[in-house]
Amino acid sequence: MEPILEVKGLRKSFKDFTLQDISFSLPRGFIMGLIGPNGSGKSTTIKLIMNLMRKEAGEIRVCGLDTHRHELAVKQKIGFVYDENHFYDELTVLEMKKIVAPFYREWDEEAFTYYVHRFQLPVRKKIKELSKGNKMKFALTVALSHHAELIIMDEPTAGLDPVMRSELLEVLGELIQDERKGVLFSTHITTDLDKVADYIAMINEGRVLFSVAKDTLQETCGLVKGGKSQLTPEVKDRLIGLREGSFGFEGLTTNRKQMQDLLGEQGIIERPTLEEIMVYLVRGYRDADVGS
Amino acid sequence: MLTLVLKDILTQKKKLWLIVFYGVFMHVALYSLGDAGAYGSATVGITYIFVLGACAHDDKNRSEILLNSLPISRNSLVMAKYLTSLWFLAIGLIASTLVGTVAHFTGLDRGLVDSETLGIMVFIGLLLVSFYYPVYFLFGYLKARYYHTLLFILAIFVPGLLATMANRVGLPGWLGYFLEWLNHSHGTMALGFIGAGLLLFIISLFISLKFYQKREFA
Repeated sequence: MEPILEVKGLRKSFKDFTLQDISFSLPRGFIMGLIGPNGSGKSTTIKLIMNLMRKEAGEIRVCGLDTHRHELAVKQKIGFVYDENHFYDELTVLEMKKIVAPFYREWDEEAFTYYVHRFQLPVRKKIKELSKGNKMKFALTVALSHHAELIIMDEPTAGLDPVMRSELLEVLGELIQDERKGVLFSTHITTDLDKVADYIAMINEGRVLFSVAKDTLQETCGLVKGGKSQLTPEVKDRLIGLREGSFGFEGLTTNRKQMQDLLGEQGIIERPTLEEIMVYLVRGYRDADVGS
Repeated sequence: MLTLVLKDILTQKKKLWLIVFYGVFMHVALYSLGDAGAYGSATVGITYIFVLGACAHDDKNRSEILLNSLPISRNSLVMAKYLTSLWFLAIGLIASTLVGTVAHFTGLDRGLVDSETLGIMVFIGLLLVSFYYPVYFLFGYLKARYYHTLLFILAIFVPGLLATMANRVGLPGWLGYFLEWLNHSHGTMALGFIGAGLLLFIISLFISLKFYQKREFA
């Protein structure tokens, strides 16, 4: 079966930033987290997938269809939730639904009513009167009411309280039970992805640093801690984002086994969280830039 | 596409009751421009307020991002906006005519709308929209804001100024003959204005379609 989302060699230049050679692939039935610091290119990648910007090179396919050539057919298959509200403030939830629904061939009124009740959305209230959380829930309701196969979410949990974030993650967990669907979830709140993501793609300074299964990533990477005596030149060379203190050091390895062999039994290598992987990689990238 | 027109009306429903107020205000404020000037300006004023209002609502919350993420072609989005402008122009025409007619029958110095005036009203309205939309679709609402203010001032005052200048200085020979010929048939003049307006409107639509294909939503 073809991947639900495939991005190959994507490129887009701006005055002071270039997104280059972005490639990753999301199989059906999985959630992919797109991580990276602010300004790394996550939102630009999503805007290119949604054709909100024009790519200079590369190919994007959703359900096997080229997003440029089959734009409308592709958008029928995508449900989107963005980091901020783009609905019309002056309209009520019901009025807004009436505007959006006719554009989807497979709009499902029953699904809409189900999610409205589940999220307890006040349908007669104007969008501007909704809380930030309810605005996101409304966007999610629309995204889930037209049998979308791919759900694209750009920082949907930014600014939400933990209860709402956990509610959102619960819905995503349920959604992915349908193995024909897929979710691309961009965020820098990586704890959300620790809970639900199957794959992780990390972007930094406009490049993909890796795109792998989350478990593989956490099994191969390790957070290395040790005393000064253990920091041999060989160990030093293999650590990313190394920080040395007066008592010891900390760094990230992308080859846990090799590092364990180098350090022997005295070495402490912990399973890193996604946040730690992101922080160390970005730090390592910056250190390399400063050094070069 | 009609859903998009409905969206532009719904987002401004609060303002709809102000139409009559705008009509009265324009007729009074631009009293000195004569019948054609006042009817035309009131129509343009109302059309301007609602056309710009619809674009402003799309700009607020950057709702163009929402529209362009839906399964709608960019061409449909542009065409819907042009269709919306015709609806608002029709509202402007009706409101301006109603206010002028009421003024006429209550004994105020205001003539009834004739075919010539109607032609001018439609022409100026279409002219405004035709010049505004391409710039809006190329740059977006915010970047076009100085341009549309200038355009509005021109649309309201230039026709009156040109008429005054023509009276004082006189028209070039060929234009004088042409206008004299048109004057013999008010119907022809009205149709001429409407035809010219529609031609501009269609040219403007094609330019906007081209511009909007290139827009990016960063």
